[in-house]
Amino acid sequence: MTVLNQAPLGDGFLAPPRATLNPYAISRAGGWILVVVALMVWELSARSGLVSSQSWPPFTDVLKATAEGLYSGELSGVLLSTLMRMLTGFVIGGAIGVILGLLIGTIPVLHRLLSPLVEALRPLPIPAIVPPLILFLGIDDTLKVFVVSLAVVFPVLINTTGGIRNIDSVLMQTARTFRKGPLYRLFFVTLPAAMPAILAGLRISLSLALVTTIVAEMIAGSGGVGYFLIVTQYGMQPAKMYAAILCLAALGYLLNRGFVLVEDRLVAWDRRSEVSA
Amino acid sequence: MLRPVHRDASVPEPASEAQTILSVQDLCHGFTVNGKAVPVFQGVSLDIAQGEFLGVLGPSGCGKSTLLQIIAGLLPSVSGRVMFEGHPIVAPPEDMVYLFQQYNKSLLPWRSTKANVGFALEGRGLSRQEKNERCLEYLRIVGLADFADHFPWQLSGGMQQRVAIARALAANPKVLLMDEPFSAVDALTRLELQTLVLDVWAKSKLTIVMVTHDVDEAVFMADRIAMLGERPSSVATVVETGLPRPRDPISTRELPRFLKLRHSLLNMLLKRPNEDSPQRPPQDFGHA
Amino acid sequence: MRKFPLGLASCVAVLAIWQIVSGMKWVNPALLPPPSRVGPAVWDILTTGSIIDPLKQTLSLLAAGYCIGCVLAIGLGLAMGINRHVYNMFEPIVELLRPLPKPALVPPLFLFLGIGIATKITIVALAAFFPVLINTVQGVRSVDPVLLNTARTFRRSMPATMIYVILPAALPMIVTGMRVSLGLSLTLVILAEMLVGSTGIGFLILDMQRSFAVTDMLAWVFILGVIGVVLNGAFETLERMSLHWRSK
Repeated sequence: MTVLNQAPLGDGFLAPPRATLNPYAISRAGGWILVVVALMVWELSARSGLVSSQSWPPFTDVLKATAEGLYSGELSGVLLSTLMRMLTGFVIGGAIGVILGLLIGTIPVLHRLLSPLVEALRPLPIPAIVPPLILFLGIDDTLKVFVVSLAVVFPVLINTTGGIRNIDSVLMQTARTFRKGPLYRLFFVTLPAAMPAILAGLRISLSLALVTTIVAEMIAGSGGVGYFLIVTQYGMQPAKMYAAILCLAALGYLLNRGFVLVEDRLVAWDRRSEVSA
Repeated sequence: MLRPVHRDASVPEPASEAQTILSVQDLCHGFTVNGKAVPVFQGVSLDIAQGEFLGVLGPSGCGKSTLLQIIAGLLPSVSGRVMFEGHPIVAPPEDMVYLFQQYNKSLLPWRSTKANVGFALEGRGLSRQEKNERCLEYLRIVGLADFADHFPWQLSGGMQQRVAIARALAANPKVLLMDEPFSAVDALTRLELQTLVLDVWAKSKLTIVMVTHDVDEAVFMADRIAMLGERPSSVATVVETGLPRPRDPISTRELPRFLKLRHSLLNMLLKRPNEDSPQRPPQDFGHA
Repeated sequence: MRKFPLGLASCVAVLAIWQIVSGMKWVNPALLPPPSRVGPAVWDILTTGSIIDPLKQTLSLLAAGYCIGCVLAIGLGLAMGINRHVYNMFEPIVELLRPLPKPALVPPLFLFLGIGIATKITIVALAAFFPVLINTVQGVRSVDPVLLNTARTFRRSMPATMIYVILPAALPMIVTGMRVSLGLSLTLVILAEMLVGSTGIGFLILDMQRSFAVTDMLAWVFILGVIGVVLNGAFETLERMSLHWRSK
């Protein structure tokens, strides 16, 4: 379920694996009980009026709003539009990032030329580039897809470059001793060898794409879940707002899961830690 | 720096006359793989005398390292117990230090050599000056006084092992447990480190239990050798090396008794039929 | 052959292209003023002191939220990494909240906690929290068992082991998480300032876009970029200094 796949320390550092897991089954159940308890506290505090009901709807109201929103198309409509923009930007930015990353990673001159530029531009926060781009691209889909693509390029590029530059030189030299040409080496040695890093960069960018889409929608103020959240905030419609957030969390989770499945099948032979963007 | 090492007696006393410091009693251990129980050893019993150098040999997978870790208190055994100075071991006891096979991973990479040795002295209420002096002292013993401020990644494998040894000595233990300490260094460094350990042992009252897969090494260094059998293993045999001390890296290895022991132990390990039983002491000492 | 500063050359080249494109009116200079106009605007902002207040607002929000988020995350992360029970208790909640894009929390938090500074700090802290938490837990769990057993054979207590062995060993991963959190926190500070309130660099940039003060807007964007680079650089220096032993 999580990224963590080593046994935690509390197991006893070198202890033989236990035949049963009883002591931990309790705390594991406890974790879920905690979630249920939190939800109940939410529900009760809202219903009893303990907390201002304006902005604190009961959880069941949120569930109802979710069902209504999805069924009526209001919520599903905005979610879908956000998803489309996000995926479009992700694909475009990802493609550009991988290609540029390949070029920069394999050609040392390009690396020396462009890396400082990339490093200088990367720390700029995404919200800051949205207003200038609005002037050029307006506030519609073009703007949002552009912003998402731009945001996605950076981590993908950096991870791709990093992945290529970290390829064991023994691999490359082996290919050379078998007298394989540069194009062959690129497709049959470099690309597969760098694939774990490339996919890690793409995975990071997936959640970044979702965040960026929402940010752009919030600032541009037209369409999508981001704008929907702002509207429901000012319209004091907390149930709808939380409903949208619930769906976003689910969306984020599913996207990540889906990508990990694809990733696992593509690089089943290797598991390396990612170059973080 | 290969020199012969000195000890008072030229042949060690039989174990029964010296005081037993460690007593392994009917140890059984195993683990579960995919729900199936896999026994590693059954009924391992061994008495280790104070001040002796015991080598532990055995085929791969027989649980030598596991046995040592149980003695060290790092692993609980499934059944049986280990007595240390009359008390059962339930956790890593005082006066006993375990040296890891992966010594390079056991050094704290963010600390200098001196600070690494200091790790053994922390939590004992020593003043900084005292700690400093003792660290340098132990580094001097292993010949690394000039590398006190270096970091582990700057040292070779053999040097890292020396730091680990210095650190173990700094804890002033009565028993030192060494798990294949020299398997990862090159042959020459191995000879130097063997000499160093014998040197240190001779000058102190340490009891050393050393697990190794190298028959030569075991015969060269130990007073007695415990040979573990196949899994589920127990102590198949215990041999007295009976070689004179001080031991010389070259000439001791050429002694007829050395060769005979080596021959029979290797035969056991390789599961070949044995001409003479290793329990019967050989008659001829050759050039002792 | 002398090492030609290619990196610098490419930055200069970009500025040159920008100048030409805008100066030759290939792009409407009202929308994209050339560096020859933006540069003096930046200088103006710096010298007249109008940088001080917005800078103070934004940076103090960032610092407060970031520190709170990191401290809480490292604390919980250590506990979760060391004790399996704590881990089991908190894992479902963390895994449920983690995939949620943090900007989505901005409207509900403003709705629920009001539009004050405390809310903004909470937003930043929440953004900083998760990457550091995940990385701390992972860092603690991947401490080499040999190191832990070394601490045991030298009979160090659990608190001592935690401070002297686990924390330093997990530090590289923790610092990586903190670096990711820095970027995310800065993003959310600017976003929060853009959506609500009337102070800070984020607010200024959006406000100037709406009133078409394009030159000043770009000047502030540039300044923000520089801030980002400086923060990042400072962080990387800190990283290098504290992890100098990681050379292989």
